[in-house]
Amino acid sequence: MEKIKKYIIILLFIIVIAGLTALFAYINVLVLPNIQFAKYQSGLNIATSIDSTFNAEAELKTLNKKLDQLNKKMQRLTPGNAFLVINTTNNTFELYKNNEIIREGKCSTGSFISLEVDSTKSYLFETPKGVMTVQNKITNPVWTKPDWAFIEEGLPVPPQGHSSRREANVLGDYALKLGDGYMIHGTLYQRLIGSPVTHGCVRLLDDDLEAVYKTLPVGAKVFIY
Amino acid sequence: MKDFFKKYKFGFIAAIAVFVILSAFTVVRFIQAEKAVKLAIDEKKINFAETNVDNAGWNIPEIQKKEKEVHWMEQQLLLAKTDSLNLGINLADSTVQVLLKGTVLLQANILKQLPEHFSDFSNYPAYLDFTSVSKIVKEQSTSVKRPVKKVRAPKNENEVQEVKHDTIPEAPIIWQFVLNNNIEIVITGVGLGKDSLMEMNFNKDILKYKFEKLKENVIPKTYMPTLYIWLNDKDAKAIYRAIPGNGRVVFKI
Repeated sequence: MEKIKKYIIILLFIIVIAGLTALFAYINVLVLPNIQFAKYQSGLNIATSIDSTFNAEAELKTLNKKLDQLNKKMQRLTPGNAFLVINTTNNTFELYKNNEIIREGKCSTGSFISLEVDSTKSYLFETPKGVMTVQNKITNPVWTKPDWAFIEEGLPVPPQGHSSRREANVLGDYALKLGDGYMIHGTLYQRLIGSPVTHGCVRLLDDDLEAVYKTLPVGAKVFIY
Repeated sequence: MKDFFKKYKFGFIAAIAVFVILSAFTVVRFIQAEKAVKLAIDEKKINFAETNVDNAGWNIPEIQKKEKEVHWMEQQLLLAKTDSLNLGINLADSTVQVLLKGTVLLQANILKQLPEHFSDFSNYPAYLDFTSVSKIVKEQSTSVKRPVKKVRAPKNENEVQEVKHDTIPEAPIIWQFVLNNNIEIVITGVGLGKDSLMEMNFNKDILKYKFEKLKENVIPKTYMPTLYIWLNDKDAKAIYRAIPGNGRVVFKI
């Protein structure tokens, strides 16, 4: 009985010590940062003097005029009637018309594969981020295969303009050229749409491609992030 | 009673010793923390004096509202001049945005924000300091900006192998960055659990972050306010990958 009592008292000491440690840990980990932030905020929020000669009405007029000017400048920045937004992380797209999303869905963008040819030469299959412009629209596009398409297949690279570089019916019914060899086009591998599998171009499902092709005029903006 | 104290002398000494050590440690930390905050405030106030901001209209709510609108637009236009993707943290609407040339490309809802009143700056210079375009000067993340996979080019057709893509989902992102106006932001992704519902562990996360801070800063020498934001993990990763290393950030409050 005495032994049990002794153990209970030892256990109580351990609980008291653990409780004290937990209490101080709580104060240091959670309470102190909150106190610091409150002090920081109140320290910065020093009162500013009120000028009795200040003309509030005139100031409001000036501010309203400034707001109008800024609004006009902002409106000039809007990317036109129709534009496309591509999310390369989630492989999704949003098609906008009159500032409203009219279609959204899956797409495929760059695989981030770096094809290492030798110690000096490599190809990185990445979709560039930023804003691009639709430079040209084509129906029934024919793919002109670049060097990496042969290297990737372990085939010898033919000279420029060789007939083996031209391949029809692999880019879908439409293509929108964005410059620097990048395009928005279709694919034979529809089941891979939604995964990062391309060489840098943006691939869409047939129906989505048709909608994008018909909505975006030449000169339309394509935002890629 | 006397016998009891005598019998468990060691226990009492241990408890008192723990209490004294922890009290002393906490007192020292409180004093140092106070000094660190004062130093941070003084540094900010030097900047305020340099910008020479004097705005009598700020105390009138109607003018203050208009001033905020003007400032937000001015900052957006400033960002629109750059060709890079920028980050907009709109605490007024509880959203985080990816901006490019004045267009909002992605808007993610803030699931949780701590401290809740992070943006309560009633003073005009403090408001300007917080909401003017700032730049990321230091960042770290559990994810990578460009997940490059190196593949050796095959020497012939027989060597061609299909590239396998990762099927295991990546863990939710934790993205920490410091701005050039001495504000730290921690963005945490909230992923889906086994039941396809969002797994939100705000308390566990905040305890982990604050404990890490305590380890880094046992005796606080400097102070930097930290804003913790939780977003849907898909959005958080997309935002992290979109914003360049030294990206620009703008706040709306």
